[in-house]
Amino acid sequence: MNSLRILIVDDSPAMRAYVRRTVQLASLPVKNVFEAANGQEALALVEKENRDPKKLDLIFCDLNMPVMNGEEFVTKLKSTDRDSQIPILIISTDATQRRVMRLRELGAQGYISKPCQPEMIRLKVHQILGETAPAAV
Amino acid sequence: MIDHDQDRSDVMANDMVDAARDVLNIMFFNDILEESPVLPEPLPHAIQVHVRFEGDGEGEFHMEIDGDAAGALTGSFLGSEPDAQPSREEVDQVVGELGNMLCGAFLSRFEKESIFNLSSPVVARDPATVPVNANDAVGRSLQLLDGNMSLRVRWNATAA
Repeated sequence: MNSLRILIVDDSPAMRAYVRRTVQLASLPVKNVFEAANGQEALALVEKENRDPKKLDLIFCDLNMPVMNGEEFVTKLKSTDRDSQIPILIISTDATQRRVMRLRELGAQGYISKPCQPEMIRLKVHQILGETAPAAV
Repeated sequence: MIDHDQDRSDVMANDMVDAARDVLNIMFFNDILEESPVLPEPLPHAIQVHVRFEGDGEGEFHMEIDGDAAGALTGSFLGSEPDAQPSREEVDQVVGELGNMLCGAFLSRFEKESIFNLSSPVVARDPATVPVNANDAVGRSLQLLDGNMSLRVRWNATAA
């Protein structure tokens, strides 16, 4: 797996720090980590950072956020020509089947419900990026 | 009818404790040592977190946690050194996220087929700023490894 450029979208600074640390614990080859506190900030950051040759590889996204929530963000991102290919992994406490189905329909590639362990994040990232997960370190 | 309401309250309380145990075990490396009926009065000097939810039903979730437990959970969540003292801002951010996770995890258990939107958690240290709504709420008191926590959930009448 190449070095990853990832974006973490969550209104909670504590949760952003947790995901950042968890990604490191999961031994994923992360090169750059960008952070946004809501969907609107994330769209602006994607506009700025997702440019050749430095594309974003993955977006971790919460659902319940002020200003622009996760569903709105997924909908807007997936409606763009330039940025719709960036995979989105939702991390949220809302694990109801209906919610997961709706997010899949909107175009999110994966869903992890909190509480979540680093191993689950590692497996999902490999699954979404289309590679077999190596054994945990 | 009374039995039905009592059954619903029991299921709610059990789901609340199970959700709390999952969240505390997996993300905070902590555990519940004892559980008991929630006390009508707030925990003294507790940090309070309030989350409203709406959607297929609506209501509010309220968490109180004492300072010792809040400090220990913050350190675990952020991966701090064991003797490091988290800042007040870090504690507020982490207990806010904890309240958010507990509310979401509880709703996902208790109303599996429903969809809810959660408000951003409101963290307060002044008991007067957050309504407790103890009289018509279902709740549990939990003894953790490093202190105490209490959880309450109240459904609006139209939601039940």
